[in-house]
Amino acid sequence: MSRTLAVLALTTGGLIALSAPAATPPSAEEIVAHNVEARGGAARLAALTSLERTGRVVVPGLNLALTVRELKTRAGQYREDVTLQGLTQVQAYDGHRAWQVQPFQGRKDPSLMSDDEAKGLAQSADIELPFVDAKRKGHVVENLGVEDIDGTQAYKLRVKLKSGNEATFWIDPDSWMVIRELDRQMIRGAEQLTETDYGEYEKVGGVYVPMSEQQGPKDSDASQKQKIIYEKAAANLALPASEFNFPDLTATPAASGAKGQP
Amino acid sequence: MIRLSQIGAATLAALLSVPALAAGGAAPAAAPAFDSSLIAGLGARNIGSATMSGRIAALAGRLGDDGKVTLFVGSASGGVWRSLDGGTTFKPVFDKQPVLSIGAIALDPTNAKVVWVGTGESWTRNSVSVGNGIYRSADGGDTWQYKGLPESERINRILVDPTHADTLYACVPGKLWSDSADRGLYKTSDGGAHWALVLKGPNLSTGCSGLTMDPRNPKRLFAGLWDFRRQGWTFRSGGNGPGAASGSGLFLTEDGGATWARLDDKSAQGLPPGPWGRLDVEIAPSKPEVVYAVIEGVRSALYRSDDGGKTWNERDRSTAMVWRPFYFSRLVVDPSNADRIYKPDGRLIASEDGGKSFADVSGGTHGDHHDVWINPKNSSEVITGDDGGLWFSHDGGNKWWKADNLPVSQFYHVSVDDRDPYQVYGGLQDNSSWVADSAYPNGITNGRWENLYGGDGMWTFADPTDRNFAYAEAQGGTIGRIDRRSLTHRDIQPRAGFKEKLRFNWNTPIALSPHDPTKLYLGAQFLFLTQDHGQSWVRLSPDLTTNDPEKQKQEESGGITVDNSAAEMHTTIYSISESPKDAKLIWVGTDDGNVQLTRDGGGHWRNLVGNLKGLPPASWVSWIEASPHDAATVYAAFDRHSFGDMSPWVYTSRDYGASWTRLAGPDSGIRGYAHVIREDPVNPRILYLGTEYGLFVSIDGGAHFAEFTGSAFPHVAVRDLAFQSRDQDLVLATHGRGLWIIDDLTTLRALAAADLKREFAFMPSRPVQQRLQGGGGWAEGDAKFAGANPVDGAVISYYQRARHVFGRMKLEVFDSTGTLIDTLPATTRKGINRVVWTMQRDPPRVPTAAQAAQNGQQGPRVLPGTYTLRMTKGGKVYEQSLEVGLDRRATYTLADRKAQFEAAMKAHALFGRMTDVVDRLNGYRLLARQRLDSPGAKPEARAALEAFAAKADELRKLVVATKEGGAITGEERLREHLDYAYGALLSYEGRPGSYQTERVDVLARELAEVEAGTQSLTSKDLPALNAVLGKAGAEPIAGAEASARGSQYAALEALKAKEERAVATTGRAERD
Repeated sequence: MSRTLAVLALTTGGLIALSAPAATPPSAEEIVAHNVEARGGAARLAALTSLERTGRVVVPGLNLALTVRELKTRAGQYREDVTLQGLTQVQAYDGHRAWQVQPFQGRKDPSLMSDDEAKGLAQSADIELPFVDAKRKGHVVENLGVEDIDGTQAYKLRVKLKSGNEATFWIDPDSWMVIRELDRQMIRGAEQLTETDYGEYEKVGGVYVPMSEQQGPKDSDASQKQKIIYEKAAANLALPASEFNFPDLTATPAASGAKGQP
Repeated sequence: MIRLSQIGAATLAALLSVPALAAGGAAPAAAPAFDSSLIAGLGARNIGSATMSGRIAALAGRLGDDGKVTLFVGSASGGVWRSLDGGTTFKPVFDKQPVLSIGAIALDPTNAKVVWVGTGESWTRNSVSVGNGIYRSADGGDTWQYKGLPESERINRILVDPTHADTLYACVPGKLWSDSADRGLYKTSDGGAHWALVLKGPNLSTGCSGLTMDPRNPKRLFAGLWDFRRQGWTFRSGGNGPGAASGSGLFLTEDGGATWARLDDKSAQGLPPGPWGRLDVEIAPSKPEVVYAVIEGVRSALYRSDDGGKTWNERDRSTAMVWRPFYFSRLVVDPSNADRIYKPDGRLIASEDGGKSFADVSGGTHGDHHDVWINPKNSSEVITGDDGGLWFSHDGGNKWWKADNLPVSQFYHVSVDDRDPYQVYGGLQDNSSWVADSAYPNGITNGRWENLYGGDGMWTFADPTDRNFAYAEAQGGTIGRIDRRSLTHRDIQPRAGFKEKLRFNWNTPIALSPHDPTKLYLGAQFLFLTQDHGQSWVRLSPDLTTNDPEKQKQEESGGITVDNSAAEMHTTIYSISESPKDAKLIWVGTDDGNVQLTRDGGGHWRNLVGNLKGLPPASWVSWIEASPHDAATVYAAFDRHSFGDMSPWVYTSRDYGASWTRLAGPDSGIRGYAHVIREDPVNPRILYLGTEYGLFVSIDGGAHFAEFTGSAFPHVAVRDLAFQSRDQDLVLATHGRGLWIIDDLTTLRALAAADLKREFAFMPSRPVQQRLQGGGGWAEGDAKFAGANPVDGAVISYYQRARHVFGRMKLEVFDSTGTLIDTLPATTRKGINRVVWTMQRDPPRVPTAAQAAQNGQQGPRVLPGTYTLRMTKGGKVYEQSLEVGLDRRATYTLADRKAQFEAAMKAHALFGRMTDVVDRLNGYRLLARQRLDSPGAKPEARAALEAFAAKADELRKLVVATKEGGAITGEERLREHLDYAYGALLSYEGRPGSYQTERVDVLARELAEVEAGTQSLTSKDLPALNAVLGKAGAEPIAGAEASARGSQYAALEALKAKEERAVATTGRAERD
């Protein structure tokens, strides 16, 4: 456990004992601390070294047999495989650069993704979410108050990422889980907004992780969003670097913990 | 597939297991309050349109260092829209704020992220909305902080001091409909925390209308004051008020507003004598001693000063310069050319000679311009906003390109027909009357809207007796009957009698009879009826208004500049409703406060307004509606905003108007003056109320209302509501954001009868059809709006008392045999949830090849019939049946549909057989490869393994295409042939052609040969190989293992990766 997380855990315990309902709106630090505690506590979160989730993807209006496998590590590596008819699309980030394989039209050779796209994968690689230990990561967290999310008066945190992108999180005041995220990525100078709703949290490695994600354009209805239903999840697997490294790189050691953090 | 009967107790227990924290659902079983969160899940879809966009009131642009232009567009009643790409795409960024009427936008010159918005449009036409103060964004418009001026109602201009960005000036015309001391020029020196009124008029009707700052000296400002007032029956711009001299004037400060000098014909040579009306003033940014002012007066004109305001010269005073000053009073000087000036007016005019002469530069724009933005680095790039939307010019304002992506249309009314999909009809402020599809394959694009008429569009209906015709109406009761085949129209407005004047409201009501499709009502001061498409009219009433002559002086309306456009016509009928329960019972409401009833088809009328206790006199009846369920019940909405009262006034009577109960008042939680109240046609307990700030719904007869916020529906004025009874839809006419459709009210109706304490309950939906899936539309780029379609699939609705956060929610679909057909991702929100089931079977198992098979990615739609929904949540199981039917437009029978389904499933199964074969062959290849890679492989074994693997591969290549390298290889094998055949079967859900089913049979026979070859490989070649392996001491290959391995994609991928490396090494173009 990092020193910062340990402090957060202690603080959180005190807050929860005194809370319900808070007389004054919680600060960003308090909201983060509540979230960390509710997810399983700073110690368990810090002990999470890797996470694998597997499931299926449901595309609006279609019933495709798309399976998904997502890997992320504390070292800031990320990989997502989406498989259809035995062909697997790969998008991966090794802590430094991102690459992909798009096989569905007959090409299976990997190609590099742009630096802008790599920033998005780097963000996805953050195993504990960017608002945790944000200062060390170079992010800035803002408390934007409370906003209604489908009937939930959710706390709203905006994280200005070191990469220049932004991620805004809405946190359920009862469970303290993240229920929505809005990501703003800049791709070639153009803004891309992606909204993700989270739910069906289950404990994996002692930490609550969402087992359903619904993703689409900002303010889109659930019917317009792509859903991922994760059927299995596992924590702290030993994942080889080859899962994340560009395939033409051979015998590249896994990135160190210091590298690859978004 | 898992059959229900196969689920054992242990499995079920496992499925139902609950994580410890799922007890979070063990909240007290109290019913949640009826609020927005319970009904937001109904959702709504915006169908636009951006074809006829809507009035743009204010513009601001910023040229970035990268050359990109960020635009902020303030619409009259549809919020602020931001473009980060110079106008190619827009997003609404102000929708979470409580008002959407925009008067001014200012960009902080010192900080690219800071944006100021003044709410409340200042182009004060009769239908103008209201604001509530000033807002600041510190993040480029993503979020907003309220910065006060709550009583300003409308803000015309905001200027930021470039030397001290916390110092701002807000030019506040103030309240249009009532006296107010909260108007004039405000200043803040602390970023909006505190405001001081630094310039005010001499009376309570004078506010600020113009403001400009010297770029060299931000303490030097000119400001214009304007004395104005609108009432329901008249308007005054400038001139003297009823009790005070005109407060209009031009002022100059040199000390940041501490002191002011009045500039007039006495103090500044060349200015015209008073009294004045509205005025705007603008310093030329590139040459600040040049100042322009457009002044409404007895000699309205443009004036120019070349000495910083000391002396002035009259310049242009053409009609295009001085027309309708209350609506057009902006001056825009080119930032780089002091002699180039734009004057937005009915036409956009521009001068190149300092205002001496002007040319019409409107080109093909809509007209009625309100603001202009000029690129400070390129004067050829000009943007203007008018009543029709936003326009771009790349040649300095000669030719214009329309923004087709701003759905800020201002509908007054909406109706629907019974086509399938039904069409929607509506009229818009200054944008005619239109008809469009409620659904169209791939989106309701701008081109799906058809113009029917002209002018300011009002009520529009399909003729229920002939679908080739429609009734449409422009302002002032100008009704026409349109032949939709030729788009010709016949004027059928009733005419006056001898020495008579008919008084038609700006928004004259026309109404169809719910009993007799030939009956059409129209209201002037009399109620008219035609039963022959306007060939003749009969009068069903005497004058039903107060006929107050003091409210009939429209020829004097306008103030200094007479303006009598029918917008102020008063003492007129404004709302008509024939009872659906009694054809002789007709309600009429008037704009001057009468509530009239006849129960004998017009023979006798009674004014019942005296029975409405507490209602102030002369209140405008904005809506009257006879209940569709009870002849004695009526609803009435009163709009008193023209008296300065912005609160809702809604009443109901259940005894033919003898007594009334107020449903919506100050304590109801409803915001905004009321436009429309309607009772649900199925459940009389459900009421829909449209106000200036949104839609409010009651499920208990009006005791409680909740605002509808589904699908981020903004706080926009809802002016009319239409029910489509066949599809159970509700169509909302918003005045600022186009038409929206709430699909399928069945669920809401069920909610009204539901026990809200229940943790979970399935809710009914309208009958499910398997809608025909057409193709339409084409690539139009990113700069076009397209309205959303209803979702394609079976909508499954359910209610949850609270948000579901922890643990699984599993939504399964079973067919009538209990077979699990699909498992759907559930949504987790509080209140109504809607999940879409595609009604497709799982896609076939398709053998892996070089590319994905296109058609084989999807399964056929299930057959119509009865299905069972099962939700597993929080340790409980809930079930409900679901009926699935054919599209009512289908031209094939259920038997045909079954034939199609069976044929598709036959092909589906054939894909599976292919997969089995290919899996087995790939398994053989994989196992052989593993043994070949074994360090100890002996030569005799290697040869046998190579031969065996090659034979397996030959067979595989008979089934699937293996050539890689690009999408179009032209290689077709059995799988590719089957994919085409399967796609053809999916393309039409009627009976397939025999050639199509025969093709599948042929492919099955061809596959059978490969299967036989594979069997031979297994039964003959494999034992022989294993014998060789045995002699060589190698592990034999088991057939069953091969099949299992072959189906493991990961293992196959490993094999392929290895082969790919070999390709990279040898440089071969073809791997296999």
